[in-house]
Amino acid sequence: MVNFTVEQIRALMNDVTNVRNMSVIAHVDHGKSTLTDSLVQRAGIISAGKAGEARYTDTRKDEQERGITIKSTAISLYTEMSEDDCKEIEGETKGNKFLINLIDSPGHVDFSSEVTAALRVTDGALVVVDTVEGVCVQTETVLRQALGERIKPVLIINKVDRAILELQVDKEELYQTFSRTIESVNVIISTYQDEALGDVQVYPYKGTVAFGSGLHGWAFTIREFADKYASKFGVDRIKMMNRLWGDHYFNPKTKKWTNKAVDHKGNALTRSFAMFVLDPIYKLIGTIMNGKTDQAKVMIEKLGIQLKGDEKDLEGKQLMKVAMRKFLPAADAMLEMIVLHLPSPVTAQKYRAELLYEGPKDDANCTAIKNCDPTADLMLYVSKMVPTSDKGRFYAFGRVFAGTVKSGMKVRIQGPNYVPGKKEDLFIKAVQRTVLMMGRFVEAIDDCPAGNIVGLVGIDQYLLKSGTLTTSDAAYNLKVMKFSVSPVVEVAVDVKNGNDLPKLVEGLKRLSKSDPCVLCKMSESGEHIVAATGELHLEVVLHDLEYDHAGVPLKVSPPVVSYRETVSEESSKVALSKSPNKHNRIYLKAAPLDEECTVGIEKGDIDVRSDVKVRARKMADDYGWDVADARKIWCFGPDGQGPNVVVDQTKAVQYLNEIKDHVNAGFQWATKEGPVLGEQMRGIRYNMLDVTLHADAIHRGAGQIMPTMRRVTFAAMLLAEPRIQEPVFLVEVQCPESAIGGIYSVLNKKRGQIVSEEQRPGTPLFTVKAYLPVNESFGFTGELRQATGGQAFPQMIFDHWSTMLGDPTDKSNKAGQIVWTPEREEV
Amino acid sequence: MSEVLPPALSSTQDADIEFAKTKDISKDIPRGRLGPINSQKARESADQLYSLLKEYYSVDKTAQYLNQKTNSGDYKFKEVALQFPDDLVRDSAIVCQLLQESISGDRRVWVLADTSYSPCCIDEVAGEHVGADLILHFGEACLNPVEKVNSAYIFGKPYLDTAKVIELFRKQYSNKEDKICIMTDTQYSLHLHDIYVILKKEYPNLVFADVDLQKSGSNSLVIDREVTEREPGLSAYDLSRIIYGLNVDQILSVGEDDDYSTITQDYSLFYIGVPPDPKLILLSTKFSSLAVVDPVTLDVSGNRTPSLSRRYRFMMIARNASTIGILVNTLSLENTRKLLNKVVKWIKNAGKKHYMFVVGKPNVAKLANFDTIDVWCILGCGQSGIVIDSYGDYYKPIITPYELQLALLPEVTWTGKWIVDFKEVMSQPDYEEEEEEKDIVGKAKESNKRDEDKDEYAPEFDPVTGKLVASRPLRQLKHLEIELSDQRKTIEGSNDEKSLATRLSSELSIGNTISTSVSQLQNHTWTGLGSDYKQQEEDEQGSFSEEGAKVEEGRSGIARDYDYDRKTKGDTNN
Repeated sequence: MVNFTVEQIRALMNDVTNVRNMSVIAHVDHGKSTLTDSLVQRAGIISAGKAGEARYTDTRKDEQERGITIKSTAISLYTEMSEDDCKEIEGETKGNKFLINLIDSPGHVDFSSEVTAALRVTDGALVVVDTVEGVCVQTETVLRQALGERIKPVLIINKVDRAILELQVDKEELYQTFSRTIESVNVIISTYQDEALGDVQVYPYKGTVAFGSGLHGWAFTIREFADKYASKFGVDRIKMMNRLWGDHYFNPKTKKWTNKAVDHKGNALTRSFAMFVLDPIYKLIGTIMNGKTDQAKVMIEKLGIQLKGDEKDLEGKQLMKVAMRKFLPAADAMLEMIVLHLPSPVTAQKYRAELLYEGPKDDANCTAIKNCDPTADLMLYVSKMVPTSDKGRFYAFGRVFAGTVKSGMKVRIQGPNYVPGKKEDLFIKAVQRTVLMMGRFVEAIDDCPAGNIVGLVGIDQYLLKSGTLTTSDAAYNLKVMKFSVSPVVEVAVDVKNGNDLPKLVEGLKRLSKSDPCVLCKMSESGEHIVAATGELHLEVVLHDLEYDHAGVPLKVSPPVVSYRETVSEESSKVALSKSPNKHNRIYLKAAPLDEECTVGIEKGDIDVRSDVKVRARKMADDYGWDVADARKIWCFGPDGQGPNVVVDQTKAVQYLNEIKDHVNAGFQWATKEGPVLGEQMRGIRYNMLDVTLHADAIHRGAGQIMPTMRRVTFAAMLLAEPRIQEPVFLVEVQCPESAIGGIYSVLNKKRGQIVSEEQRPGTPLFTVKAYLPVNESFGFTGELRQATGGQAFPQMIFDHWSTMLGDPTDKSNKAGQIVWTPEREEV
Repeated sequence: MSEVLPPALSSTQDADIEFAKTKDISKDIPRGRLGPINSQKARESADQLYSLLKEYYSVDKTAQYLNQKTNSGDYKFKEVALQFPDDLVRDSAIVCQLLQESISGDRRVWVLADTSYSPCCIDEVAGEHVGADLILHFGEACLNPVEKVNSAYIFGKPYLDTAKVIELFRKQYSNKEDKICIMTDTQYSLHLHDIYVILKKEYPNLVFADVDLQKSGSNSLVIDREVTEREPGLSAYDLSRIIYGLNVDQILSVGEDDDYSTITQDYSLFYIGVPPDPKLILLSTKFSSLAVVDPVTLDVSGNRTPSLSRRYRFMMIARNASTIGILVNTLSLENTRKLLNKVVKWIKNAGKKHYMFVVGKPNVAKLANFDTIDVWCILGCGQSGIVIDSYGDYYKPIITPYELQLALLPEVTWTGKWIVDFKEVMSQPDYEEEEEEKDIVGKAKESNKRDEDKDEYAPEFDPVTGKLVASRPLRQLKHLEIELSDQRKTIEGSNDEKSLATRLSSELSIGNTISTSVSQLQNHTWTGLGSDYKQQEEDEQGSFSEEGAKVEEGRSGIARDYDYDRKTKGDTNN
């Protein structure tokens, strides 16, 4: 029985201090959805027995079948805390009722974009780490992203039952494992930590770390045990918490606390954590699993666990589950961490506002966000689109940062390319309905005040993937999300039956809406291209397209990757191009832009849209540019924001400003389709050395300058030792030692490069990291499985563009072979 | 003024930049079409060249035609214009001289040195410049009828090594049962029947497509080609050919309204000649496969055809274009005006903006001058009057009216056909017309209803870039009115009736229409004189420079003839 009503939730939305927006993030298979179940169960949405198996937030059929989460799913939960707990909350609160807006996110790297979209609308993150596997590549990626968005983490170490039951780890060893995991999480946190966020490292003795088993439905924090023991030892809880973690020992004979591992006689002492925390757990589990049911029943009674009716007849594992769940309910531990240690929107928006808002930090809208003001002008960020049951329509899912969104309210819908004062990417429309997202259901609400997460009906036509909603004319956009993954794997799709074409095009539209990171475009040769982040993503996306969005049979080409064109030297001489009427000349030289700067532009660290002076300062300070040069950057390309620049180095050229727009247009055109294989250029700096222009305006119009600029761009590039770049995955494989040989042989065959190989301390597992060209990655998972007898599963994430050695005009090397493939020659 | 300097280029040239001189290859190209022996002869002496060209261009027969008199005793044609395609212009002086010598009376023969549009069509406009009452067209022709002027075609009699061509044919098609069609450029059609007769014995399913000499209309004639009586053939109207050699059942199976390609789809085409790109596309859509033999070099090429899927991409771009430039690349073709009006109507109904351009010999530089245009729609002769951008040189894609029509359909459609014949394009089922047939009241109601449920100005998904775009500037009218009614009031209040353009929340609209070109202009950094001073001021940390620029009197006149040019001329006269 659901133990809360929509009215209760709606009422709580007004008390923003009692709201927690949080996402559950982790590496794949570390148990996010399973742990989420415990919370969902606490809210009464699913029964206790099903928790851990239902994976309630995996709403799609394929999610259930594959056993992985693909889409992030939001659910709002209502909870009440004890008065005692409420006292410990930093910041102000009203009463003891809390609203938790939780988003369960996928763990597979291919779906990282879903995590990004989830993080944007939340303020806190529950990081889940597997006891056995420890911190993995995706743990690091999502944690880094979370900190980049100024999101506060708390940690839960999951699957403790595996360590106890399968690996039979003893108590001290388990403590060491926990301690190592916490240490590695803290290393990541301190690396990427934002000063504005303060110290957000996690410590068990502060109650920001929990331990548990999602599958069995139990978890605990030190705080819970400290509670139990505090009165016994007659110290306060805080002191007790400090004593229960780290090098604290209790000598049962002398009844004294010490920080040495031996007593005065040299006898080994047991660590307090093992003695007071792990011991009862080990004992309870041990007794039950050893079949000493009667003895266990006694223990259960002593611990104050009450079994109901038929639960009393259970034995073995079943009994253990019930007993543990009642002894240390997972939901309690998690709720405690979430409510006590994650910030409320009021707290979080104070430091997140400046990071979220594109406009000036002191304007009315930014201030409203900082104050989480429900009466101000609306500022709402739509982070993703969620399909509705009505085919082809979507809920716009987002977070209200300021103001209140109401049903029927007229809002300005500002797309990612909106610039204040301009009309582009701007629509004014009414929000038809506002809804509360509840996993697989939605509940209609009348309005939603600042600080909450909401779904909107009726504006999906005006947004492709994300955007800003506001009621203020002067509002800038909320910053567009940057994804940690890029769609680098492409396929061409076509309909089997020509009449289905309209359905395909409509399907592509729906597909781009429903997935934050999928890219649908058309190739130069007129094929519909679907680009995704990896093979699994592609598989899911194509399945969706064929059976859901388009609903027609499709032909799909084998996967290919897109390349980039770059240069490796400065142009060997000045490239000159004359305009068609021979009256104008442009002199240009190309040179490589260093990788750091290129990535800076791509990642948005160098903000192309920001003010010239600010940008020039940034480039001078952080990227070693000459300030004068940086100020003279005429344009970025392609699409006005790519990692190629034109720098004006001319001196005293008359009429130069007049041709700036034409040069820009020609440059966009040239960088979009480079001369080597018609791919985008990347990382090239063009220095415009001189320009000769005809004195009559009519002879230096767009028609003369634009094609000339394009040709000279090509010429300068070809004179500068052109190279092609291919995308490279970072592969992480975890496997036993015996499988390493297999991994190496597969990687060798596929031009892979090993980056590191480490043994996870305390486990027989090795972690191998390697770079693998995306082009070679197709079928990699399968081959790896074969070569290692199914022991190795890779996680692949796009890492960087790597310049291929060798002149692409020479057919004898790899780069040349890519350029000269028959398909490309035809184009 | 004592000294007048030429207009100064903005900066001096560096002396050390060297420019390589390319070898001039235009001279001394052998006249290959005369055949190896004759082209050698033609080089040896002028007399031989004259007699060869006289024969080649049927000068005698042409003169005979020109010397016709009307009943009243006047010459039928008084002013005669000769039109040559670019590769034959070199012969024009000789032909002109020969003709002038052979015709009687005080009549003049003109050479039209330059064809404004496609060289295969009769250039009516150029003829009108000299008041020609007959245009003689030489070389390859599309035979598309022209409306006003009398015309005659002289294809010429090029040499063809038929034995070698037959050999190539056999090599190309090993299976004797194949269904094959042979076709040639118009000049080479005189060899066509001979080749056919020889090959038909081996290839029972062979057919040939001969030139349809009557295609060019009643006021036109092909000189020195006889209309031969043959068994009935199938007309391939948009190619100006008639296909002979089919059996009667096949011909009858094609109904009045059916496309002849239902038959030809099964045939491979063996083409002798050098077809221009638009014609290649047309041929490739009509036949199952294509082999093209260059008649001079005898090279066989197969897959040079510009790809049709690129056209699909262009069509997709056109779907999401807001401004369409209609490029009129012919003035003489029948139905041009009708089609033009239709195209304009289609675009208007789709809520898009259009501009019309008449540009002779369009090229990259000319079209790149108009950066507001998102896509060009070209109206021109299907044989060579359509610009096919095979190498991606053009800034914006160029499509045909048929493709535009597909693009403007509400639902994505692609037929894989390539229709260039104006009449055929206009006879395509027209979605807008159907709508018009409904009574106006009903339509208005319907559109109101659509407003409410569907929002006509919702952005559309652009499958080319994968973004949402709003591509119907004219459809936003209502949107604009509602949104900006407040601002309008204040403007009305200010009672400035003289202002044509009102600035509405930084988007200029003229009257009630959004101006796409103005919004384009607003994206420019250069907005006219003085905008660079503003930039300088900004560079100087916002401090105003002490003085503005000094106002000087500029140049006046037009580029050909500036005021100081006139003065110089006056000086020299004095």
